[in-house]
Amino acid sequence: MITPEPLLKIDDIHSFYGNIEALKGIRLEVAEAEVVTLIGANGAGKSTTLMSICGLTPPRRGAIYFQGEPIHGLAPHRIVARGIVQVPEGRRIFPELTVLENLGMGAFLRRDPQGIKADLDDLLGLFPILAQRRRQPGGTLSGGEQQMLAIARALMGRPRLLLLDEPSLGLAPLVVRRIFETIAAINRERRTTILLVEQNANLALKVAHRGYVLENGRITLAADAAALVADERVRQAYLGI
Amino acid sequence: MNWDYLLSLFMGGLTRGSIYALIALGYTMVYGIISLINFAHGEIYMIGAFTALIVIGVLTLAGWNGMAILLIAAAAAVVYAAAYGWTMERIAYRPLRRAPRLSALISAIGMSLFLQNYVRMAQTANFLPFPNLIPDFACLKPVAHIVRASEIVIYAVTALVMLLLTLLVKFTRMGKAMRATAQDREMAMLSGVDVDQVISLTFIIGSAIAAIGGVLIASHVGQINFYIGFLAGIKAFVAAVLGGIGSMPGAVLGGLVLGWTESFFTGYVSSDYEDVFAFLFLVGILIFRPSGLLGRKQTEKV
Ligand SMILES: Nc1ncnc2c1ncn2[C@@H]1O[C@H](COP(=O)(O)OP(=O)(O)OP(=O)(O)O)[C@@H](O)[C@H]1O
Ligand SMILES: [Mg+2]
Repeated sequence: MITPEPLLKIDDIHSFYGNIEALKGIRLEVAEAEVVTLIGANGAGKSTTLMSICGLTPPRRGAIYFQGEPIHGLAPHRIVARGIVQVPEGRRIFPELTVLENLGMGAFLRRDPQGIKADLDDLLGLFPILAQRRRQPGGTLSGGEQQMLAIARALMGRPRLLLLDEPSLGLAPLVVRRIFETIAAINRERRTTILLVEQNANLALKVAHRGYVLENGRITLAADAAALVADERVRQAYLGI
Repeated sequence: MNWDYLLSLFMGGLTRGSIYALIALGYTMVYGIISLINFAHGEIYMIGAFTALIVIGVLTLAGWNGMAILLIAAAAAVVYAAAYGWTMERIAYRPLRRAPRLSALISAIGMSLFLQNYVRMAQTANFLPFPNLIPDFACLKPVAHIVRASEIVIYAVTALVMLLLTLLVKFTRMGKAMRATAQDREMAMLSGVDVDQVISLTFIIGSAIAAIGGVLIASHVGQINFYIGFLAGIKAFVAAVLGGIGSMPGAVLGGLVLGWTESFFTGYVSSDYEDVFAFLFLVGILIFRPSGLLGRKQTEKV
């Protein structure tokens, strides 16, 4: 599936928190219109990988290329401007902004009022619950509603690459299914490229085309989703089989 | 009961309170965005007043007079103070953004002392007369013992500033960026907000508003020196804490409550302890309601 020119290419990055080396040389690639998942145990470095891509924990060594251009070292808002949008772990809804204002923040860098309006109507159609709660402060929504808002907010930015950090965390099975259906639909219908971090490897490997296994800040396995599901180590460690 | 006296104290309290509120807005906005008590904020207010005084002097020599001078002087004060606020953040706070909070606080105190002494050396330690350029309108003659024209201008300008600030924060793109940054800085960055730009803008707006307060009160009181920013700054800080630091309506409410309390206390009890009052207030708030009147219910590590 890897094309000669991947949309995202991470080349041997090392990221730190103070003196702690959280990423010890990560390499991964995501091709246009692909869904790639990153699975790994708690503390493996999944969130750090996404934050490194977005410039919040910029790698101290190594390189990140997006559409062939280096983006490591750019300020986070410039990385967003390239079309990389993250739904971070824990949803991070602006608690005192209304649902509409939260969605507006997703389109912060856009300058096409008509397009924004059209996307807003689209997304409110996709998530009717958000339409009902449009004037309510984001902090008053339930966990599942906040997760939908977080995804919708990210989509308001028309991302080229969508980074999702544990979208299923803490949600009821029914809501999780809704969210994963939505993720699959976003990829299918908008051809949005997605890098998905998940604890729930079963689900992640169902929507993903390929996956990487991350252990202690290192990639230990990279393969097609089907191959990962069949892999004995993956089955034992992450699929609970 | 002497109603005129009561009313004059009410008006006097409103005057003080408006000025405290104008300064407190800067404290609370900066705190909301970067969790820093900008102790040098009072000095910006003082520098605003001095800038206006200098411009008034020059324009008077050039033969200008009346309200036009005051308007030009106020505009110059706003621009100059905003430039100071912007520069201050750049040199004293931005390099310490990732340092422990205490470092930035010490830097703020250093900035405050530096600016005070810089103005004292560049100007003088003595009080300088500040001309009252707001004419006492004839229609106010019958109530002259209750309220002066300069006070009415203070109320009107304060109300206008608050209205504009509210519109800015609620409806403009940058205003939304400011609120988002105050609520979750990292998420604001992930939404494409240039947080450095938002912080600079916050300092510029807060400083401009403080300068307006400085010019208004200087013109009302009639004299200034290098030290006025210290006391006014501390009191406005108390007002901000009283209202709930980080909350803009809280800053306004806190300013007014402090202004009225001071005014009635000095009017009915004693004027000897006028300035002690704010500190009693501060201690009281910190003990009984640390999150302030309108603040979020959380203990902040100040
Ligand atoms: N702000 C921080 N300061 C210090 N260390 C951190 C910080 N954030 C993460 N770490 C450390 O970096 C390592 C990787 O953390 P990361 O959050 O990327 O893991 P993760 O794979 O996302 O885990 P989880 O599944 O629990 O979300 C961990 O050892 C963690 O303790
Ligand atoms: Mg994580």
